[in-house]
Amino acid sequence: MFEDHQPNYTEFVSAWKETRATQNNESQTEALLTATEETQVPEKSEVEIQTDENKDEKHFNIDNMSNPELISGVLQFLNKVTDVMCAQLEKNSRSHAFDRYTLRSDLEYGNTDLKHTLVYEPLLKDSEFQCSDLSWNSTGTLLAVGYSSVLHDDWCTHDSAVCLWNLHRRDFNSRKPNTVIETDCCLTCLSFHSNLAPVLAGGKFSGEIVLWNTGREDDMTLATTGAVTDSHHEAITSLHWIPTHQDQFSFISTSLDGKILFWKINDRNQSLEIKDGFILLADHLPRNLGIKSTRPDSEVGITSMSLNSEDPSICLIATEGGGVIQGSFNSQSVAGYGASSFTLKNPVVMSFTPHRGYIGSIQCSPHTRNLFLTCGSDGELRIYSLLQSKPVLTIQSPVGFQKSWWSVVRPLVISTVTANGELQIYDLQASCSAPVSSLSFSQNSCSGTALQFNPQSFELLASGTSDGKAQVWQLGNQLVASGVQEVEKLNDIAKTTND
Amino acid sequence: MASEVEETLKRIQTHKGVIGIIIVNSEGIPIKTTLDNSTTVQYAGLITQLADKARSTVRDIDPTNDLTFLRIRSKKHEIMVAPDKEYLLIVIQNPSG
Repeated sequence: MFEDHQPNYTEFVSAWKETRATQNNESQTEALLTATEETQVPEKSEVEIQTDENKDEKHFNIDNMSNPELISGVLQFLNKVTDVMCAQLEKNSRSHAFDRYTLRSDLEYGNTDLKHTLVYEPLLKDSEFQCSDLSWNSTGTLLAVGYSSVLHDDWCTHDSAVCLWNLHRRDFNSRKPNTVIETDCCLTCLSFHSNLAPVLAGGKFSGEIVLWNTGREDDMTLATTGAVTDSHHEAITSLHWIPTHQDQFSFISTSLDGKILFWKINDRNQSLEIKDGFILLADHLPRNLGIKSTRPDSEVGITSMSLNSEDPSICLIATEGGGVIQGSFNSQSVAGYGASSFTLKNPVVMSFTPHRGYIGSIQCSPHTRNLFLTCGSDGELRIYSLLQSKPVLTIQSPVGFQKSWWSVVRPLVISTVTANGELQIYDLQASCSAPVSSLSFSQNSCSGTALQFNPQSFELLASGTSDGKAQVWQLGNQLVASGVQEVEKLNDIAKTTND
Repeated sequence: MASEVEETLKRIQTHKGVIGIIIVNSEGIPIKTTLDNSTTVQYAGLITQLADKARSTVRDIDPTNDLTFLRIRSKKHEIMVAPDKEYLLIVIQNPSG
């Protein structure tokens, strides 16, 4: 029933597909243009260097000496004159021709005269105001006088002022200052910038420091330390400008709270910032000063400070209680003072024989590295040498000294103001014990409080008194004409009293 | 030859109290010095003027005369000047030093 069956093939043409017809064709695109080009990125490297301006550049030789013609010319010239010159040098070093020769003008002291008495009447009405500090500007034309009250029981709420007198203006009036800057607190310290003539720094009784630009018409305030947390909180006692290349506005301040702070101005928001700080603590002071304390963080107030004329890292500090201390700003030893968020260092290096009273001022000699001058209410004017702890020269007086200052031109001249209202000028060349001139400020008894030499016109000296007046003195000839070999004589005085 | 110049300067320098030596040309420009830059320039400029003035004074008084040496005594130093046509030798001495 079932059998194999082979079906037949059937073919049929696909109806939906057609044989594709093809045809050859050609096309040609334009040839690709290629070009080879080279580029090179330069390699740059930048290096910055900065050299400090070398102030004491030695032995710069204007060396045109490579030119042989010049050398032979110079040599010829030298051969001609050397013998004459050497003979003269030889003769001169043996000569005694000028040994006793002094100029006649050197023998006459000339009179020291009172030139102006400067008075600011609104403050003078209250008899409690005294002239607390003075400062001449760098060009010596402007005198700033700061006032403070003598009575302070607690906070200082006095309305005080800084008065500026321009001595060269035609409208100069000794009873009317050219400019008055009013302050909300007594001023204890003033200092004009050492080369920017209109810039003045003032320290207040409250510990605040203000910088003014006295050249401005409207708001003179440049910056204040009012908002700085670790600033001083006692009266400022001295301000020292130390302008550098990077920062014109850098200065050091000292205060009765024992701090020495280095300040700089922040250019962005014109505020003052602390750069570095030191503190005097009773524990760090040598025992011979007799300053003791049982409290751990007890500060010792700084009444005056001076920077060494040759090495600005050396400072001399006068403390409350009469201590005289040499400090160093290179010191790295941490003071371990708790009441500050800022690390304060201990500057103490060594101490000198202390005064038996308040030290009014301390000042390094501007003419020689090792000597400095102190004066105190114990009636002693002392010259110390950095090399020994005892003073090399002591001048005693029955009344206390308030301020003493080295003359700018004569290394042997010292000016002082005393507690009984006298300006005394000592010339160590004439006498090591008595003043060469002694001038009284006024009839009524008042004490001298401030003293400043004019940095440009050496014959002008300004002083301030406790009755609120400031005086400008014209010094006699002898006190401003530089003498012969004075620095050597000063050093000799230091040596002879040594033995 | 340059060493001979140095040699001569050294010879002058050995004298007692010599502080500095400056050689200046006739225009007042320092050629050789043993002092620092600013002092040299100051001395060179000022002393050249003074020496010129001194020379013209001597010549004006007597045209056949001429300046041969100039000594200036100050409180601190003695400044000695040896003038010549083209150059000036300035030596600063501290006579008592």
